[in-house]
Amino acid sequence: MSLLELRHVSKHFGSYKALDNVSFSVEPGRIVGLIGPNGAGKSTAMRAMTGLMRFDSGEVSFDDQPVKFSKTKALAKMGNLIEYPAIYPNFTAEDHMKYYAMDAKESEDIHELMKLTGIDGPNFGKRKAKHFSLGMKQRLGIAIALVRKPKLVVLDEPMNGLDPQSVREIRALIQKLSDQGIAFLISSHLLDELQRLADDVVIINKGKVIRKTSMADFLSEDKAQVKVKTSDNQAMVAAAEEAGWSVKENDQDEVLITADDGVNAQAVLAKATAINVDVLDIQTATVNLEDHLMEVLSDSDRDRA
Amino acid sequence: MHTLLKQEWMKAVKQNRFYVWALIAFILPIIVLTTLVPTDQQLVGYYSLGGAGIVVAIAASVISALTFTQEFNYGTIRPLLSRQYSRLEIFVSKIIMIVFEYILVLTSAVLGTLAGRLIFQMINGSTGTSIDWQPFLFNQVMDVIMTLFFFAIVLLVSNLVKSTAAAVSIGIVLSVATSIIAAITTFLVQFWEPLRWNPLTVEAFLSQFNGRQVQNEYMMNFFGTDVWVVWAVYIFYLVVLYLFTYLIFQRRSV
Repeated sequence: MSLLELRHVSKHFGSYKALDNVSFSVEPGRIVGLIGPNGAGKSTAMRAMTGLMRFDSGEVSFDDQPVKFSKTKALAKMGNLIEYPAIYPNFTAEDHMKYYAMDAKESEDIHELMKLTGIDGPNFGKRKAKHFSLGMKQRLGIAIALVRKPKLVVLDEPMNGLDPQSVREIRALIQKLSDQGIAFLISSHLLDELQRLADDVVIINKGKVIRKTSMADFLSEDKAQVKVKTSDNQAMVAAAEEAGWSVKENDQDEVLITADDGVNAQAVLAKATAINVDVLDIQTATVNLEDHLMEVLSDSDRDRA
Repeated sequence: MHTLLKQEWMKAVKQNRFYVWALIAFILPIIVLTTLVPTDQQLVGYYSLGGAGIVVAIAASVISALTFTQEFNYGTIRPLLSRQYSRLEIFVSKIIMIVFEYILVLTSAVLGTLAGRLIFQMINGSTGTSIDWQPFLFNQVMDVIMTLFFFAIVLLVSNLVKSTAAAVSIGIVLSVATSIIAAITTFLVQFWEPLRWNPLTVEAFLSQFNGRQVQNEYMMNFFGTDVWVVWAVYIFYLVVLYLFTYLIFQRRSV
């Protein structure tokens, strides 16, 4: 049984379709990356599932209970950090923890959580949140999302404003909590981070879910490519097509040959030699979430057009 | 509800420091009554809470304006609403806390006034007058009841425009301009009869209510009906205003 489930959720802002029949689910203990370009509908979907926004049609359920706008009893076990940390400027970090833990039947040990999220140091102490840096606020926002011992944590751009060391610490924390059974739904433009963190991926574009699968499956769709620059790219493309290879040119004057069925840099070199084309540069591109996402998004845009 | 009230209290103390208002409302009448008000004006000084009445009114504006707008401004409205509580519970907890804070600031002003009177007496040997406690306390209770109307307007504005500045401004303008607007509308009644029942006129008349026969008759003459009907209309306006404010809050996506 899914922990969170969105079924055919749609939302219009006037004539603009922000969410178009969106369906996906989050299983217990899984880390799900919600990916898409700006304005794709990620934050709208997050607001719908956290009971903050009325949606036109569809259903959202969390922990076997319906989540509706203004009827959000189910949300006691969901933590969230949407868009930016919800912080009272005159509260200290500890005040925030106490405040947000108050309405939980069962909450984390506040001091332990502060230590885990790195908001217990001398930088925090008795300082009021209005004096925190963006990164400190972000850490506090994540701690707030975790304080009520949630089953699911919804994080919108959690790495925003964090330095590389903090990113690494937060990543480790999310992984640790996920191992303990807490599910995460994370939206981020830091695709490298998501690639390392997420078990599953939901890609959303122009309000529609265009792909939902495991991260491993998604990445395996993207075959490694051999990038080659030659003295005569047209001849190289023709020869590659004749050999039945999947091939295209990019805007950097490179020929991209999909490394599949025994195609590798050596085979490409051999083919170039056979047709008397000089190879100026050759490299094998590794599988990359960003590149594959761009490909998937442009395919989706093309399909719509 | 208990948890929501505890959280509102924590915000009142740590975030909004409402006690600063209570402190000013306590100290101001002591200073005013002991140093600025001559013996023959002491009684007037007591009834105006030694000048702290205006502090209480401004505090009421700020406290009520901040309660919703700061949640929108800080983004804390999201975790506030994305919880197991209904929006009605959240709304009611906020109203209760506003009224509670207001009563504390008012009480502080009353205590400051009494302290000022005591100090004046110690310095001068006598205040030259005595307080008639019944009308004095009746005035304070009426203040609380009339302020419910004022809160409703400020809360309505703050929920509509989500701007602290606009809500505070409306509050302050209302606290000084209600009687002016009521006077204008009272004048205009001769041109259009139903105008006498507009909420500001009703509020202005009731705020002068002291339960005495002369004033009751004046009110009955103006409205052409019993005083209890005027009270019923006032309560009706209160219910409508709070209901309308709640509906705006209840329907707002954040």
